[in-house]
Amino acid sequence: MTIAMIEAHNITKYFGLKNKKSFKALDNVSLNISKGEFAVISGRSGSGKSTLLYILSAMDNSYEGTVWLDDQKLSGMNDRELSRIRNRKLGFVFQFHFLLPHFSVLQNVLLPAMKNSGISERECRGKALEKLQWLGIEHLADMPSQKLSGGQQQRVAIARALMNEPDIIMADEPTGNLDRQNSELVFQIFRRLRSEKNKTILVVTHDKDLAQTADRVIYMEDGKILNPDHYL
Amino acid sequence: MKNNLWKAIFLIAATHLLSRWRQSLISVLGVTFSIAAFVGMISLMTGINDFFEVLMLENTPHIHVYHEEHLNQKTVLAKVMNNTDELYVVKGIKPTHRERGIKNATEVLRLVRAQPEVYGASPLLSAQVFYQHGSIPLNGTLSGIEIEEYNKLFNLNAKIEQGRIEQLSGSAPALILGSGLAEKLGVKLYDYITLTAYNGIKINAMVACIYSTGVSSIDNSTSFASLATVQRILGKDKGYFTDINIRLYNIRDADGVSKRIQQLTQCRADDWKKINAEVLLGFTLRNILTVAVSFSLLIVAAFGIYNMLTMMMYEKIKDIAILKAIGYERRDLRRIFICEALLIGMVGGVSGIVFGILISYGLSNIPIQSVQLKTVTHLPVNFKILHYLLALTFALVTSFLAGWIPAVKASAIDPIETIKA
Repeated sequence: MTIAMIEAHNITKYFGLKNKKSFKALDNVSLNISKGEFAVISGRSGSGKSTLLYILSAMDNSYEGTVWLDDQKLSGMNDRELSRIRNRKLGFVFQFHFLLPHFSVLQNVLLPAMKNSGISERECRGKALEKLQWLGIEHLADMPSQKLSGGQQQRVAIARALMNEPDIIMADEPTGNLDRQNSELVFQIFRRLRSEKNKTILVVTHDKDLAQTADRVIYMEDGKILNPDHYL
Repeated sequence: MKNNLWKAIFLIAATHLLSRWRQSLISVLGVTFSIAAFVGMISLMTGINDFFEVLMLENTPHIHVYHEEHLNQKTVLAKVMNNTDELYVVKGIKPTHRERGIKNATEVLRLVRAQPEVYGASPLLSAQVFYQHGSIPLNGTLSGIEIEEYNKLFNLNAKIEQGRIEQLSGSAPALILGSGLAEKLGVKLYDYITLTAYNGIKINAMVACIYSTGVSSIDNSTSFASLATVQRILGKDKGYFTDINIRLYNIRDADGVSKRIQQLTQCRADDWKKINAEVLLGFTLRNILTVAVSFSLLIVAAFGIYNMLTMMMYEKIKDIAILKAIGYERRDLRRIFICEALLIGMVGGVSGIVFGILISYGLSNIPIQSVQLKTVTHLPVNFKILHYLLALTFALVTSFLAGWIPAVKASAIDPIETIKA
């Protein structure tokens, strides 16, 4: 058995007031994702896949159950520790590229590194350009981020996610806003990240065709995983 | 490399402000105007205070020693009947004739001069007299002084407009006449005028000098003569005088020394604060006014900043969510908004100080005419670095406080809610 990079045990999440137990978004979900694996969570909207991703990505800490990222237990961490995890341990890519407007591409990519103490600014810039180069968009470095096309913006967002050399990349519907060609390009980048950089990748998508290109597809319905141990 | 983080915080704050430069400018202007008003007001008010303080200290002694008149309630009968049970009533008690003068005055003066803090002590004998030149008598005060000592303490020489002080040292009665009085009497230098005291004694005195203090109430009524001249007109012997005016090396000793003198001499001794109580009250009132007006202006400016940053927070909610998602902590986001507030405060504060100095300069050029105070020609205005530093501190503190609530709100934003929306 390979080493688990992401481990979730019995995650239950309610929306609304807890005592009313109004809506059970996640129902006793357990999940294991190995190091260097490219996994996709798929399912209809409302199945709980995004909710699960936010818990695994250290953004949401109000849930029952336990989460480990690379043997670090997230559950019970305080705000600062979770911030540190989000900054160092994982990179996140949103559906709507979510770059800071009025900032250049390079500045956007630099932001996570500026939070990370221990690296000089020169080093940061070198790293940021290297990431952009790896994604083939280094010529856009000084452009204002809002002048870029959707596909370009999403690649900048991936560069930003890679900035602090995290082990894990997570993405929430990263192709939801892109055309076919750009969507395929984004998934191609994820596959490259796994094969060239040995990153662990967890992507939420409802695009079935693209999902098939991953190592593993996890299907969710009504807050439950249908195939927890299924590999492609 | 902690400074990377601060660089990022500053960059984000500055970019936020520039992306909404119109609103930022309005907030900055709010601070600018209130700080400018503060600088202008405090410069003028302290200018006025300083002006009055100089005027006050120039013309008043640090300590004033005099004999206090009071009704002696203890009658002779009471003294005799002391410790007896018998009933006695004395009706209509009136003060017996008592000298106004300081008892044992020469000894008191010697004692006062012996105090180490005392720079000089000038005896004074004032008398109400009628000045007469021609047919109309004018009422006024004649102050008998030791010319040299008085000049040393109150720089009388500087106020002399015509004539020379030395001319008073002769034995013939001579006067230093107030300029207003000279004008009203229609006398010139070296003219003779008649002085009449309340007891009917008349003296002819020569106008040896004419002086002007700039305070018309003094210039219109008071003249100086040698102590001996006034003693003569009152029919008193040498060694009789009513007041001692003291100047100290250090004005801060006034309170202590006045108490000591009071104890040593049994005379009443008031320090300059007591003498000028109403002037000092004016200082306090002006200071309160300055603080009150500036404070209310700053509050308005603070609300402007608060309002703008709250709007900024809702507008940049996406940025906040992104920053949180990529690992920025609550306190980093708080710092970003505090930084924005401080930037507004800094820019507004500095420009406000510049405008304030311009306002002060403008005020200092406004001519004023006062019948009472002839030495002022323009509004007295201070230009002090300390006031500008104070203004900058106010600007920064106010903007910090105004930014605090939006900053805390921004740091509490839930990134998931924002991303989902």
